[in-house]
Formats: sequence, structure tokens, C-alpha cells
Amino acid sequence: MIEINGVSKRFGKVVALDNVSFSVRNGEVVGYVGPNGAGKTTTIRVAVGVLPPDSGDVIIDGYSVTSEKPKACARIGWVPESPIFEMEFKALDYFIYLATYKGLSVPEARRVGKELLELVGLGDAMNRKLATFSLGMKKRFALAVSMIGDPPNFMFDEVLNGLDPQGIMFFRRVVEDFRRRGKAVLFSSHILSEVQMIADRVVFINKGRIIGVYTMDEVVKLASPHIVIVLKQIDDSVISILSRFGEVEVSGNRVILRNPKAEPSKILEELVKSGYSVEEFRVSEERTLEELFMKLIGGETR
Amino acid sequence: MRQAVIIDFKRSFIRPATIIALALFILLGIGLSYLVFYTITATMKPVGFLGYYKLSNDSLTVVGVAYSAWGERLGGEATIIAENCTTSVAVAPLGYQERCSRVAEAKQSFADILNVSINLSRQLSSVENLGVRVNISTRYGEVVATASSAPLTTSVAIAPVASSITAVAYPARAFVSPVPFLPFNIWFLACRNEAAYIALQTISVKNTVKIFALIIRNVSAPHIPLTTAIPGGDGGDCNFVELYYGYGNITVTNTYELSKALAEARLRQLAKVNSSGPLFAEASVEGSEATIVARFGGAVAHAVVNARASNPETILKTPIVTAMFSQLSTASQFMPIVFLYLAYVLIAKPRSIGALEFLASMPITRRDLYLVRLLAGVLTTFASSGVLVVSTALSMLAIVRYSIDPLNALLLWIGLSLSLVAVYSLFYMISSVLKGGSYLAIAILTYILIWFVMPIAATIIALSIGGPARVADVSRTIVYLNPTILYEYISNYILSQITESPITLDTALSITSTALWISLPPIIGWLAFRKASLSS
Repeated sequence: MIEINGVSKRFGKVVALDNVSFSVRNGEVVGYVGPNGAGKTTTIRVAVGVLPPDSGDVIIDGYSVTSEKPKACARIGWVPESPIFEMEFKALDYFIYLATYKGLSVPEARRVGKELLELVGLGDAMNRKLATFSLGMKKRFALAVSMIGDPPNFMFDEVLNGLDPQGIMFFRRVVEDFRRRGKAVLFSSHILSEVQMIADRVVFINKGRIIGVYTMDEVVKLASPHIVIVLKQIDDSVISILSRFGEVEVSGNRVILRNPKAEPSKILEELVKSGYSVEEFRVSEERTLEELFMKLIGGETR
Repeated sequence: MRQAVIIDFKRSFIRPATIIALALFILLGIGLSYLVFYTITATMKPVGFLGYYKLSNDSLTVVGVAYSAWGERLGGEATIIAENCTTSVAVAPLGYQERCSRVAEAKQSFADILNVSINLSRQLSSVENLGVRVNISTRYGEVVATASSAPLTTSVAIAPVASSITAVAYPARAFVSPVPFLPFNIWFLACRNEAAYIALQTISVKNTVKIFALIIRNVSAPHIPLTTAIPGGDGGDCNFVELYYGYGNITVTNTYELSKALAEARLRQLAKVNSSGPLFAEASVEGSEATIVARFGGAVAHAVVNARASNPETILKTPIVTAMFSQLSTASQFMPIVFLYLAYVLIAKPRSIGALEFLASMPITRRDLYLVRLLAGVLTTFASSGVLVVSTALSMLAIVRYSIDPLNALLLWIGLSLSLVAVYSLFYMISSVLKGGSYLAIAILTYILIWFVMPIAATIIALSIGGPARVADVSRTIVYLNPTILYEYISNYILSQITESPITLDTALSITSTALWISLPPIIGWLAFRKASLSS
């Protein structure tokens, strides 16, 4: 489990993270969504222990990244957006080198390296220099390294960026496999359709602040087409009428009719014919996650 | 962690820059060894010959050994020339005269003892005085040994040893062509009809040239190697020889005094040689001063060997050791470039491209990361220094036949290693503070400043303040500011021991300076590195 607790980070005068808090439970994939510069990568770099926070902490399975970094980092794998390695190494050699930091002996690291590099599709490239790797190969390599010791938590930072469809498919499968195996996965992306496909929950961040945390069900609801109807008076009869046209949510004298099954004019006509005084009748079309996000940025926080 | 240090060490040590630098310095060491060797061999002949000839049944037999300047038996090829000489010479080889004509010749290769015969039955009747010339060719060079007989018309006479044994006296039948400065004493024992003959080559240190000390390699006082040639098997008393030695500075001028001295001396048997044929015995004498006594049959010959005269001298060691130091000094001067580069490869470059960030996500602290690469560089300094010192010592040993002793080699290794650790610490600190190009610029500037500008500037300042007299003082002072001061100190210490001169560098200051160079830069570097951004 990954717990981000009130993390703040400044770079000079720029506030990169402002009291960011959320968690990723075991067996859950959390999409971390925000525009470029929102603070996604900074959050993840703090969470994997490479960037010390100004305040707050990240707890990985009960271990603090700031005060118990070796224990915390042993339980987390990280695939950066643009992995940078020491390019003079050959892939397997560098894998072995990194694996020794995770406590593996050289022969053990060699065996594990061959297995994992094969698993991520780099079996033919393990004796190639890292300098010759494409971005996709580097990400696969980072994934292989992050899988050393089979940690229970993973962080994927914009991992689908720059990948070909095959690569995207590969990482999607990996994430789904991790979820099935009960791992906590934080998946940052600005490709919202991907997040929509993979994530169980979505955390929206903008300008270093969390602006919304939604389950996918909630996101679907927020994004679905609906009609907002404000009536002078609401009773069981009107709810009964509206229920025939879709899912009804009542809040005061305001009714939200989701996924309407009839034309809005027909619904309005029915209400008027039944003698209800309609003060407002507003039709909202289906929204994409992008539109929802833009709307959230526009001030609709939760 | 340990494994990571080893991997980083391997890639630091095996990388082309390190290997090329080490190879260059090893080649430099070999080159210097050859230079020293050729300087020495140009000054002296490194080959000697000890032997005798016999003339019996019209057959000339030459028996002998060739030896190097350091006492090693040599194999080679010998050409023996029998000559007819116009006049006889009683004492050879000093009086061997050149007006001789060749009558017979034989050539033979030999591995250890040369033993070659020439049949002179047809030529001997025309020979007035037999002259024997032996040309020896070995891997260390060539030597010519000569001897001549008394007129063959009379019975072969061999001059008895002079009563004063301090004089050099050879029996007529002996070849003694010692190298100019021997590491050991040579006796030539000839015995015939109970008459003892002895040839003693004594060594006077005072009159030798500087190269002397090289040749007494491995001869540490009071150990004196003694080489003896005993021509046995000719019916004389040489079949049974006992060598004794005793302590005491015995000076003998006549037989009476000899008997008295021998009676008073505490003699101990040194070697007992039972020889039925030609023999070249080698034995060692212990004692700062010793009397060597050779006894065979009823005759006793003796010689006083002043062991102190054979003490290892420093004079020749000095150019050898100085050559070694100059090679290692060059290394200490230019190896910093390698460590400047290593600090760049291990920290500055990966930091500038952001490669340390992924590494930092491993389950280690940032301090671990800092220490791993610091230790990898430190190990590289020790390994590189080891290679340099060992290769230099071995190339000297292989080529010059003399090298620095193991303890001094160990001291040199420690000195060079810690000096290079200090150098690496300095560059590691800079690489922890600055990235990539900035690091390279500042590091190169620092290198030039410390190793080149500072000494020149100090000299100029010294000259302007106090004239040439002040230069040495200022140079001695600013050397403490150099990270390689410990190497300077240790080489200075070793040289002072060899030349018995005082150490010019201050022990406490040298150690303190090195300790500060090693410890302070990494601490300062850590203060910068612990909070530094590792992203590109």
C-alpha cells in the first residue's frame, strides 16, 4: 500500500506539490491524472525516494520513504517516464549491478536478470549496450529492474508516453496482471482514455494540488449525459414520472436525470403536462475524461 | 553494497583510460630500467671469469666458471686459445703480455662449469711460454681472461702466495678476471705438493665508482658470499679442503703471526669440501669482520676479509632507486588525470545526465550511493598503485638485476596509494558539487593549478622575496599543499635511508596534510551531494 501524506515540495519559488495526500490500496490501480507540470512526476520521485520532500511523507507498506528509505524502496518498483541509465553498460550487466543494490549476489542477479529481461521482451537485447536502446526498450528495462524481488507496490510514470501500440498493450497487460496479483499500482498519465481503461480510481492533480479523487464508477457517472431539472416542488409522483426516463438523483428541489431514454423535449412535455412547475431544464451531453478534467480544473473540486 | 563497490571498482580499473595510463607508466618503468641497465653496463663489465688451466700429457685443459656482477653463475660460449708467447710472465693475468701467436683453438658452449681440453701434442714442442686466452661470451656480455706459464723448458713453477695476503696474488695457472666491483670475495686455491696458493680479491669501497652499490645487491652486511675455485683431482692436497672462519680483525704478516692468530681466533668451520675434481665452492661468511682460513693437507692459507668493506653501499642503489622514484613520481604527477576522469565517470557524468536518479531509487540511502562510488575509486587507486609499484620493481629486477626491497616497495605502494586517494577525494568532491562540463572545467583547472601553477608561482614569489636562496625553502613549504605529499615523503624517506642523508620533509606535516586531503573533500562533497537534485 502506498500512502502519500501531506507531501509538499518547492523548487525555488515554484510550488511543485502543495500538501498532496492520497493512497493506493493493495490490488488497486490508481490513475494519477494532470496536465504537464501538474506535479505528477514530482509526487512519484518523492514517493520512490529520489527527491526529498520539504514536508510530509510517503509510507510504503508501513515504511517511511524519508526515514526508512531502504526498507520502503525494497517494496516499490518504479518505471520512470524517460528512464536514464549509465549508457556504457550492457543491459544484463547493468541489471546485475542494480540488482546487487537490492541484495542479490552476482550469480543470482545474473539468473534473475536473464529471466526478467526475457519476460519483458528484452531477451535478445540483454547483451546490447543500453545506449542503443529505444525509449520503449528502456522502459521495459526499467520494468525488469523494478520487478527484482517482486515488490508489492509499483509506480508507473507516464509509462505509455512514446510507446508503440504493442508497447502500450504490453504495459497495460502488466498493470492488469499486477492488480490481479494484489499489488498497489500508481499509474500516472495524461492519456486519459488509457487511465479510464486501467484504473480503479483516479486522482486528479493540478498545479501541485489534488483537485479530485474519484472511483471509476463516479467518473463514469460524472461523464455520462444527463438533464438537470429544477422544480418548484418535488414529490414521489414526479420522481415516479422521471424514473421512467432514466436514473434519478434528487438533491433538494434539483433532480439529475442520468442517461435519459427519451428526447429532452418529450420529458419536459410530460412534466408540464403533469402540472409541475419547471424552473430550470438543462441538458448536458456525455463528457470525456478530458472534459471532466477540464471541468474540474475549472473549479469543480472535491 | 559490497558487490556494487566491486562492480564499480572493476569498471573503473578495467576501463580504457586507466589501462592505457597504467600501460604507459609500465612502459616508462621498463624504459627507465633499460636506461639504468645500459648506464651501468657501459660503466663496468658485468661478467667475470674464475678458473685455471692444467697442462698434462700434451693436453691443455681449461676449467672455470663465468659469473655475473651479482655473483650469479653464467652459461655461455667459450673460445680457448693456446698461444706461444715470447717471454714468460710469472704472475697472470696482470702480466700477460700480448706478443703471443696462436697455436690452437677450441670453442665450447657451457651451462655452468666450463671444462674443455685442447690436444697440443704436435704444437707443444715449439712453444716457449704457453699463453692461454679464454674469451667468454654470456648473455650479460663478454670477458677475456688470460694466463701464461713459466717457460716450458723448465718445470712449471707457480709462485707461492705472498706473505702479505692483502696483496692480490694469483698462481700462474689461474684466470681471475673479476668484474670491477664484486659483490663477493673470490679465493683461488691452488695446491700442489703441499704448497698452498691463494689468490684473494679484496675490495676497497673507497676506490670504487658509484656503481659499486648496485653490484652488492642482496648482500647485506655482515653476510659475505665467498666464491672459491679449487682445482682438485691433480694429485695434490686439494682433494680435501676445509674452510673456516672466525671473528676478529686479524692482521697477519708472517707465518708465526698466522699460527698465533689462528690459535687465538675462535674458528668455526665454514665449509668442508671433498673434491676429487675441479670444484667451485660457494659459502657464506657471517660476521662484521672475519678471518677466512683455507686448510688443505698440512698447509694453511688464510685471508682476512674485512666484511665492512663489503657492506652494501648506497652509491649504486641511489641511481636505481632514484630512477624508480622518478617513474613513480611521474605517475603521481599524471595519474591524477585518470582519477579526475574516474570521478567524472562515476559521479559527475551520471549526475549530469540524470542516471544517478534511477540508481537512487534502489533500496539504499543516498549516503550509500555516495560511499559506493567513493570506495570504488579508492580501490582503483590502491590497485593502480600496486600495479605501478610491482611492475616498476619487477622490471628493475628483470633488467637491472636489482630492485627495491619488499618493505620499501610496500611503503611506496602505501604512499602512492594514499596520495592518489587524496587526489581522488579532491576530484570526487568537485564532482559531487558540479555536474558534467562544469566539473571538467573546474577539475582540470584545479589540476593545473595544484600541480603546475602553484610550484611555478611559489618559485617566482620566492625569487622576488629572497632570491634563489629562498626557492628551496618555499618549495619545501608548498609541497605540503599537494595531495601527493605522502608519496613525496615516503620516497624521500627511503632515499634518505639509502644515502644516509636526513629527511627533508616533515613527518607530522606530511601525514596531517594527507589525512586532511583524504578526509575533508569527501565530507564537503557529501554536504553538497546529500540534498542535490539527481535529475538531469
